[in-house]
Amino acid sequence: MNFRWKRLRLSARLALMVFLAELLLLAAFGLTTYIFCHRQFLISFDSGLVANAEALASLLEEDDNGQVGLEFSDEIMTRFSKGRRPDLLMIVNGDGTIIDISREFDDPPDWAREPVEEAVFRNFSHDKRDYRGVSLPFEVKTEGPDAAGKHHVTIFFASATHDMDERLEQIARFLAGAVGLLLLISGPVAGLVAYRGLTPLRRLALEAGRIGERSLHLRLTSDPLPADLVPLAGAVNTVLERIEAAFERERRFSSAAAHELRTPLSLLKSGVQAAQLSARDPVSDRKVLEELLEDITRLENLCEVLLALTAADAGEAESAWTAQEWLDCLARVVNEFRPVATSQNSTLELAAPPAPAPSTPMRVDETATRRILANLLDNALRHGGKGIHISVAVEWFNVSATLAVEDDGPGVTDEIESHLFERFFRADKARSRATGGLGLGLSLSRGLARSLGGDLRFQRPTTQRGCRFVWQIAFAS
Amino acid sequence: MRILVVEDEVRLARNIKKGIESLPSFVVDLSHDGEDGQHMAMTNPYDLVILDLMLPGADGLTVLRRLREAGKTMPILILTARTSKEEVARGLDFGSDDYLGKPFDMGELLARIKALIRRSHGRASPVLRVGDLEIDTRTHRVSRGGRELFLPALEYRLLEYLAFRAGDVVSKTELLEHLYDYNWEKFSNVIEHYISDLRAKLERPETAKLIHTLRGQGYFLSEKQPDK
Repeated sequence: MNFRWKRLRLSARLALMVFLAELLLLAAFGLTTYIFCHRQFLISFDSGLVANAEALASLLEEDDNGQVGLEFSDEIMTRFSKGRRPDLLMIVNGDGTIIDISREFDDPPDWAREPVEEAVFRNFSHDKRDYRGVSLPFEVKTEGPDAAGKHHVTIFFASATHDMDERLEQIARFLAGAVGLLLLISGPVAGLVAYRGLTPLRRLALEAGRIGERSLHLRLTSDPLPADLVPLAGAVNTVLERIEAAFERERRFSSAAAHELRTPLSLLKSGVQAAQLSARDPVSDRKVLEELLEDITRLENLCEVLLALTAADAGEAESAWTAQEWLDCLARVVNEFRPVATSQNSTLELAAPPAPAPSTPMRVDETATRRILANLLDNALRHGGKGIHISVAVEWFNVSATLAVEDDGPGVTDEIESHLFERFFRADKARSRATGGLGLGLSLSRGLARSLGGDLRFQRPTTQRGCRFVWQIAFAS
Repeated sequence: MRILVVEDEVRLARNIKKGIESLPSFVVDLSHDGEDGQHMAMTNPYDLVILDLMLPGADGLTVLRRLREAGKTMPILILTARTSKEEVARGLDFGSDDYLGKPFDMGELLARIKALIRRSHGRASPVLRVGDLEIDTRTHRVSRGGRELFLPALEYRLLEYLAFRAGDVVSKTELLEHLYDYNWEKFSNVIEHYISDLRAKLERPETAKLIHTLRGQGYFLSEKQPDK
C-alpha cells in the first residue's frame, strides 16, 4: 500500500485527498442533518403525546364512589383505536392498579404502571409494532383517600412511531442519495481542479525539458511562477549555472588540447609529404624517419601530460609517504637540477628542516613531488634568466607542510600573474614552445596539489623582485 | 619565383622549403623570427611570403601590417594553427591574401602558392602562352609549336619567370634576385649562360625569336619583334 502511494501521480494524489475530505465532510453533514431531523421529529412527536395525555387528564373525574374514571371513556377509546396502528392509552392509580386502558393494550409492560415524578418517554414494541409513549403524572382533585384532596394518577399515552420512522427513513435515503450524487460529481471536479492546479509545475517541467546540451544558456523564468515554486526554479537555475560552467571549461580545454596537438601533427604530415615530393636517398630517408620518430614522441608526451591533467581533475591521485621519504625525494630532485643551474650561473639552495615527527604520513608521492618541484625549478631556470638565486624552503605546520620555491629573477607582470595557472598559458609563447614547454606545467601542478588535498599558490616574494610559489601538502589523517 | 617562409618551428620550416622546392618554379628562403623575417621581406624582392602568426620577435600580424604599410604588395599567405573564423577574417583584413590552417596538406599549399603568384601577375589561366610557346605551370611541361621541350629546373624557372613578366624588360639583377635563394653567390654571368641555353632549345632559324635582349637593360619575352 505504501509502495503504491509513492508512485501515484501528484494530481491523482491531490484529487484523492480532496475526494476523501469531501466524503468525510458530506458524510458528517449528512449524519448531523439526519440526527437533527430525528430530534426535531421526536420533539414534535413527544409534544403530540403530551398533548394527548393532557387532554385525557382533563377528562378525568371522580365518581360518586370516590373512584377516578375517564369521562366519555368509550368514545375516547373508540377514537384512539382507529387505524391499523392504534394509540395505546392507560390510566393507572398511584398503586399501579389500572383505572382505564385501551382494548388493544392487552399486555401493558410493568414499567408503564409505575408512578413517575415527571413526564417520562419510553420506546417499546407492542404487537410487532414500534411505539413511543409518555408516562405523565397527574393530580386529580378529589375528596378521596389521598391527602389534601388529590388523587395521584399516571396517564400513559403511546403512539406508533411508524409514520415518523418512515419519514426519517425517506430523509435518510434522500441525504444518502444527495451525498452520493455530490461525491460522484466532486470526484471528477477534484481531479480537474488538481490537474489544473498543477499547471505551473507542468509548465516548469516543459520549460526545463527545453534546456539541453545545445541550449545550456537557457534558464527557468520565475515571473509566471507562483511564489512557492520560485525557490525550485532558483535551485534548478543554480545547477544549470554550474553545469554550463563545467561544459564551458570542458569545451575550452578540449579546444586548447586539440590546438596543441596540431603542431606536432603538422610537423609529422609536412615531414612525410616533403619526403614524398623530394628526391629520395637512403641518408635523407633515415633522417626523415628520425625526425618523424621525434614528432611521434612529442605527441606521446603531450598525451601523457593531458592524461595526467584529467586524472588530477578527477581526483584520482591518492597516496601516502612519510615526511622523511618526502624530504629525501626533495633532496634528490634538487640535486638533479644543480648542474643545469650551475650552467646558467644560477644558485640553487635547499633549506629542509627535519619534520617534527619523521614518520608523519603525508598525502604525497614520488610522481607528484617530481612533477611539481621539477616544474617550479624548471620555470625558475627557464624564465628567471641567468645568474639568479633559487631557494627551496620547507616549513612544518600542524596538519600540513609547505614547500616554497622562490627566485630573485625578473618575476612576472600583474597581467601574467592573473593567467599563471591557466592551461596552455605561456608567458612568452614562442620561446616556450621552442624549448619544449607546453604551458601545461603550472596548471597540472596545481591540479595535482589540489587532488592530494593541498594547494599550489603564487605569492609576492619576500624581496621585491622574482617569483615565489608555495606548495602546501596535507598530512594524511 | 622566390618565396620567403617565416616560421619559428625550424623542422616545419625546413619541411615546407623541401616541399616547395620540389617544384622547379620555386626557391625558398627561411626565417625563424618575426623581426628577422620582416627585415628580409623588406629588403629582398620576394614573389610570395608565407607567414606564421605565433613568432618570436614580432608576431605575424604585426609583421604583416608593417609590410603593407611600407608598400610591399607581394602576395602573403598566413599559415597557422589559429583557425577560428574570427582569426581568419582578422588575418585577411590585416592585408594577407590567403589563410591556411595547420595541419595542412602540402599539395594544397603548393596549389595555393601557384594561384596567388598567378593572380599577382594578372594571369587567370595556369597555362602561360607567348606566341606558340606554351608553359603549363601545373605539369611544368613546355612546348613550342606542339613540340615538347625538356628543360632542367633552373632553365624552366627562368623561362617561367620571363613568361609571367612577358612583354616587360627584366634586368639580370632582377632575374638573379628572383631565381636564387639567399644562400647563393650571385654572378650575373650565370644568367647569360642560361639565356643562351634556353635560346638554343627554344629558337630555330625558321621560328620567331622569343627571347629578346635589350642591351644594358635586360631581357624580355615576346612574340613581337622589337623595333630597331
